[in-house]
Amino acid sequence: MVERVLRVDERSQGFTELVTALSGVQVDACFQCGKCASGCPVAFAMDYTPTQLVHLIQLGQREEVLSSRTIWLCSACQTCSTRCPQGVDLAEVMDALRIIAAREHRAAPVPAVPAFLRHSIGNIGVFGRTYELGLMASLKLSTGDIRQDLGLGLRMLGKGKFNLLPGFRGSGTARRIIRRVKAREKT
Amino acid sequence: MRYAYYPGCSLHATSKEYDRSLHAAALALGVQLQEVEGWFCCGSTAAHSVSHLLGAALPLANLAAVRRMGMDEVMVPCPSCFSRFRFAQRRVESDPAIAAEVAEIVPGDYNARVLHPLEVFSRPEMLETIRQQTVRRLPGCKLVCYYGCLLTRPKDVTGFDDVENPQTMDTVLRAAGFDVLDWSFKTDCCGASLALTRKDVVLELGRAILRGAKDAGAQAIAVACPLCQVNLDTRQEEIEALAGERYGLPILYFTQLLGLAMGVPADDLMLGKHFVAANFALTGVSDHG
Repeated sequence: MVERVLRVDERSQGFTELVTALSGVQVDACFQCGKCASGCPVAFAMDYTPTQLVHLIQLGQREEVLSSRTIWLCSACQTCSTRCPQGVDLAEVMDALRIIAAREHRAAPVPAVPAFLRHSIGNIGVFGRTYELGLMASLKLSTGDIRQDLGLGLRMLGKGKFNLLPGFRGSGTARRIIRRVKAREKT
Repeated sequence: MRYAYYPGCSLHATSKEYDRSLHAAALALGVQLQEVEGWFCCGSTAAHSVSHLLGAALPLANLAAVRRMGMDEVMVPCPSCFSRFRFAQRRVESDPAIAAEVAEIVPGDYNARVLHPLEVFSRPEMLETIRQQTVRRLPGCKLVCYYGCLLTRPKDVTGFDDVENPQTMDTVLRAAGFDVLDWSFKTDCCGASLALTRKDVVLELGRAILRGAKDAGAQAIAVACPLCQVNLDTRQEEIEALAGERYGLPILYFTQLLGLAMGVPADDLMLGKHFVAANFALTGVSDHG
């Protein structure tokens, strides 16, 4: 949790509307009861709690919101969305915020998370079905964090938990879908 | 009873034991599963985090494949896939703009009913079959059922019995003769894919869940999710080292437990895949009836 002086000025305009439009969630309905923050399993590791994040969106604090750790640490567990007395689907809002941040090519304060998302989609595009060993390897290489979990990975390998070689079943269709979606979203 | 079957990526890789034991349990219960032809990844956590359109198109393309098989019900054991399928269906029902775009990218009919095996196995007639098929008792084996996030939440998407205190898995495993305990962590989050990016978060969440199970008096945790299983099982030693206490809790798929009770051959349960050995399951089995 952080405390900071916020500036609400002309730059704050339009952000609430953007998030509302993209997520389809009426962010204004939040009355700050704090239920999402108290139920969020990952709140302890976030900079802004979910309740604070919604307040920031209401105040048009684009920079604070899009550069927060919160949007990348959200595990999409749906607890907030399920418990909100005002029907604010915060998990849906988090998706919209990650999408906006990625569109703006912002450097994330938790770079491993967007890297994981990118590598996952890349993996599906190549193999159709997730090739887990390939995903781990490409992710670890890209984040430079090769040693962490190496022992665990080897033990899992020993237990036969990974397929050594990738398959390519379904890869043609998956690749085509990803390509079409990307082409559409570029325009 | 015959269903199309979408295993999802995990069940063909890190969670082969879930796939195999589900097939064995289904066979014992007279449920036929026919794998979806040419299925591919539903996009899981990644697709919906980067694009609404991709998050809908990947699952719906797989549902279109179900319909092309001439089937209209598909069994989806992985809660992440299950959730993404149902979210995608809701998305095109509620958002005509996305629906039109998806229709261009993935033409076809996606009106297949998405079912989790627990929904099927908990039907009254199936519970009766489970009771009849239960041939082995595991004496003194106390379990807690861990549902995780996406099987139950949000209710309007999953249609599961209760988001805070679900009973479906409890009911199924009780029918198979297990001593299922009540506890407070049924639908708490294990941290899911943060295991790959923020391990510290997953270790802390796992600690709370394992401690909760221990406090309830459990000797094992029953799960229905590949990611929950991997996070709680393969990282249990690390969590123990961090917490400075020992849990020694085997994390078993409900299908493995059903299989144990119904006398499925050990080979089909693949209990040796787990890091925390299910000793009670391997040694404490007694034949009965």
